[in-house]
Amino acid sequence: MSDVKRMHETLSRALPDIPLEVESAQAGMSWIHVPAEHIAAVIGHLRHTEGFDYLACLTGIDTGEELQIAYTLRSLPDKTECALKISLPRDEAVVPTISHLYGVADWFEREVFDLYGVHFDGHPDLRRIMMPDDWEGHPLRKDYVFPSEYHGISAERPDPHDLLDPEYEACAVDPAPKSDSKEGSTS
Amino acid sequence: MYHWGEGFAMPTKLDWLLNTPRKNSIWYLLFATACCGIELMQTGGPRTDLDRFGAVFRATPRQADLLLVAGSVTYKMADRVRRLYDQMPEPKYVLAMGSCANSGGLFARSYSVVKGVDKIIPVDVYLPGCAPRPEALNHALLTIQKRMMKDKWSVRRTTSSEKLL
Repeated sequence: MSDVKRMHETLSRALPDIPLEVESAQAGMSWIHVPAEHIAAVIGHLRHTEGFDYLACLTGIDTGEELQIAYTLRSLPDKTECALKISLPRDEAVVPTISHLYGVADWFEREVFDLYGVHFDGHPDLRRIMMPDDWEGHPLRKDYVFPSEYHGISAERPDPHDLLDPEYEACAVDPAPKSDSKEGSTS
Repeated sequence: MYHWGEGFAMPTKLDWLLNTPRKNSIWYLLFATACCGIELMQTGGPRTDLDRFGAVFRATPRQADLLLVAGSVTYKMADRVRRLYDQMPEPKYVLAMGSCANSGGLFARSYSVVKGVDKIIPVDVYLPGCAPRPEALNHALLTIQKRMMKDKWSVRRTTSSEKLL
């Protein structure tokens, strides 16, 4: 956490024109929120000046309202970590590529394009990487509609519980939170 | 001079003659798509030695009698599985190993996994389990052998994968 705050101060001093914010989740991880159009400049600064030589992770998140991309950078000599996040509108998700800064970002960005439909501006080879080339849609989006068939292969298969026992409720999860169940057990 | 006798018993004998060497030399295709492949390797190992039934792995479908689908098959892989199956010479048999190959298993509600390999190719034996133990796979191979002994030489197994679609 201190790494991220320290890096936020360093970045704010080095790049005063770019509005940067530190955000943190309840679980303890914190990150720097960057405007999407400046992400290549910020990561380029971290790469060349601050010594973040390793892109550990680049992944997408669909919150339902917006798309996010999370970058996790590491510095192997300094043993520090810095996480960055950007937000994108769902209907027009375009972001500058960082594949010229980190070679590994090439495939990471293809993966995010494949599963979330984010277009990386300037990417040398933006194709699907995991799904077939003629696949329609981007599967990890919240509004993705599952296909009923692919190349003539039906995706329908009845739930065996329906065939054997129509009364059975599949995946019945008790919605009660854990604290309530504890009180219930003690009382 | 040899006489056939009254009852024309040759077909049965011919079946036995053809099927016995077939069942005692099931060469399975080296094809593992997921973690069931680990159990498949284990079954080929010394403890449950598949080689004692004459079953050895082949690295090419042209020499294989048994397509052992070990693991989940994605839609991207489905075309390849069908192609491998079509490249195998007759008579050919398919063993769907593990829950994923049977029905999609754990990934049945996924967007990318085929809901059972019998949607692509005809399956002779389904082996449940996640993953099945080597003993179970051994049993499945013996079941395939029994299945082979019932084949009639005069009946061609219609096994084209196109028929399913």
